Amino acid sequence: MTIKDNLSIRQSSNVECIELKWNDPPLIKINGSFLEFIKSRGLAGIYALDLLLIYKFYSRYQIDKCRRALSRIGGLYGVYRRTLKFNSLYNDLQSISKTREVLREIHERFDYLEARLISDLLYFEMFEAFMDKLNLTKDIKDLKLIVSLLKGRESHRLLLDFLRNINIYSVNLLEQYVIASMIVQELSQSRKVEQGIIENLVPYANFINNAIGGGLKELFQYLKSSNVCRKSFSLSSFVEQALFSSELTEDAYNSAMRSYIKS
Amino acid sequence: MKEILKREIKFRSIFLIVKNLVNAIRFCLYYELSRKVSIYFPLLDTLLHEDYIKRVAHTITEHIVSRGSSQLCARFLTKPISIKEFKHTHNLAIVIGSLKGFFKNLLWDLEKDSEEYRLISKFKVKVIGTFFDWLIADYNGLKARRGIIVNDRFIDEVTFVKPVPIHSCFILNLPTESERYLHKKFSEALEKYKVTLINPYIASLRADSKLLTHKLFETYNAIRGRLIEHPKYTFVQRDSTFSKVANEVLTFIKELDLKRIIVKPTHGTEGLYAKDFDLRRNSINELLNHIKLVLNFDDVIIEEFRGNMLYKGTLHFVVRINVSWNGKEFKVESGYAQIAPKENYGIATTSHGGRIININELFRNLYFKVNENCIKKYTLTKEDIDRIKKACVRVAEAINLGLCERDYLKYMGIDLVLEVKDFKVIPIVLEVNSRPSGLSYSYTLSYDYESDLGKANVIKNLIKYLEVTSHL
Repeated sequence: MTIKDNLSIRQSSNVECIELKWNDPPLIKINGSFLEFIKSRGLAGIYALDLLLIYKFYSRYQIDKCRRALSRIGGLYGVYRRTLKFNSLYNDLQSISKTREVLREIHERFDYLEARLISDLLYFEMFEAFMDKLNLTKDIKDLKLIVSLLKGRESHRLLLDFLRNINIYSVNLLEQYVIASMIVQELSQSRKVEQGIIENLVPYANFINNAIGGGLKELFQYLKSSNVCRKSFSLSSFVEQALFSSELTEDAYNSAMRSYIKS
Repeated sequence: MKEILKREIKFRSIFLIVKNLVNAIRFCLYYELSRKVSIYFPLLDTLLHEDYIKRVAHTITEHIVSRGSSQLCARFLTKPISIKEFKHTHNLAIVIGSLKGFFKNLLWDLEKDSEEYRLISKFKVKVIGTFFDWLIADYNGLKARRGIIVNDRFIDEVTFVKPVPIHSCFILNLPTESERYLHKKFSEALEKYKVTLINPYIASLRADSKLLTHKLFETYNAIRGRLIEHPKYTFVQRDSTFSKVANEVLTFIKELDLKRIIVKPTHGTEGLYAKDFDLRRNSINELLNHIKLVLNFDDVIIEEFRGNMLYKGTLHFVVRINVSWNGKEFKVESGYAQIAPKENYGIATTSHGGRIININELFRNLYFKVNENCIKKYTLTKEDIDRIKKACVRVAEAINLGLCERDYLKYMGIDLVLEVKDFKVIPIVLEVNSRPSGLSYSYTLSYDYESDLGKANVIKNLIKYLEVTSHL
């Protein structure tokens, strides 16, 4: 067993491929033959393992159906974000084709569904384009609702039901991105937003980390203000006032922001 | 130094405000937009992604800082675009580490050069600005997943439906604080693939070290006769004891009877920490203190002050000449001039408050110091311009001495000052830049400079090389 930076890694024959235990320090158990396979695939094997671990890290096993679906999307989004930084992280160019091949092989040899999902993800240049494909995949049915919610295609009621079903206090950062996206798409894509819906969504939006959901509060305030007020202070004039004034200062920004939100 | 810091601080503070603002209003804007035009944004790829927000904020900040002087309009496309346009073209990636320095203007100029070249030859070059993280290796070929491209009247940041094959790479626009480290990292990663590197690190190293540059000039002169004129210099290593440093510096000054010297970090860029010392006015203590300061982070080069020509009779200047390889020879592409901020100020770079002007505008206004009290106008001749060009070609040859073509520094910016000697202009080479900045200000050197300010040009000669090496 090795312990590195408060993380223990153990080779074990009792796990199928990888298992992540949230002990103190967290423990990664890796199956011996799986590890041998990874080693035999060189750098592409390391990349594949990296992505599988990231997925594991962000998608802890959940019993509840909604929670599990959210967790899977969160995990996949975590993988996507990781791939965007791969070159800088490894100081090398990510061989996407080889990593994809290794992940395919892992799926075939070890019957590891997530490896196939991640391999598919690597074909897509945008995460949401991958989700469209996911929506068409037969064997990943539990993700359909969440993908649809992410596109803002479902009713307010379904979104609220979904949010009520998950324990909002247990969601991780990646899942918070997904929830933030659902809320904004729901409000932006639906024809009419009733005040009651906004009130119901506020507690969930408040929970989201400000670094992720910055702008959500402003959107709610904006939606709560009357249409007449909104029109009298259009967003474009605000942007012009705040951004394109000859000297942009913190004060100018704050006062423009205040008057905009109040309007 | 203060000027560049001030500008940097101003840019950063505006950038932070803009970023906060964009963060605060992003969803309101999206809501309003989707109401008006029924638009759908993939939020997890765009408005909810920090890097995306940063780039949007950077573009807006540039617009504010330039007070809208740039006519270029930047767009962030949310739908992946087809790669049809990049299928039968030679795709040149400008690999960047930051968007600083109005990178989009440069991209525009490069694309215009390639369009003009396309008119005379059928060879098509497409220029794609890309961050290192946007590149991938796909079955041993290099490809770009995202890019910043010129699209009609716009500069668009786009995602490609499929990664676009990249045939050659030019590393530019790296953050000053990690410039050399990133260049090495990018270059080493790119070298493994079948791409043409315009400025591979192995050659850039030679230009990045002012000591190595001087040494290469000396070697070149020893082999081919004294052809490159460069300032006399001394070198101080970081691990030297201070008494040894003082001794060496004073001996250098005394032996050459120098009245004015320039102190520079050996690996400095953009004139940062370079300082001009007039020994008739500045004390030796001031000089030694500055050397001590630079020795904290780099070795030091001390050079004699050269250049007796002045812009409009009062201001020092530095000429920047861009030289490139075309597969057969090095040739001058274009250049610009940097004018010192005030009279008798010896450093002309923009980091010291200098301003950039058209090189032909400089040629119209050249004066030289006959002696301390007498200044005369000088009319630059065709022979003088040719001498400047020739000197730059020799510098390019010297920098690449002993390297094979693959490893050549195929594009460089050469800094010169000018001196009048025996009624002709002699170019004095100060340094070579492997990641030249300010390329957007570059114009061809015109023999008829009184009536012709030259043509905008950055890479037209280099494209000839891309054509030779291309397998299209």
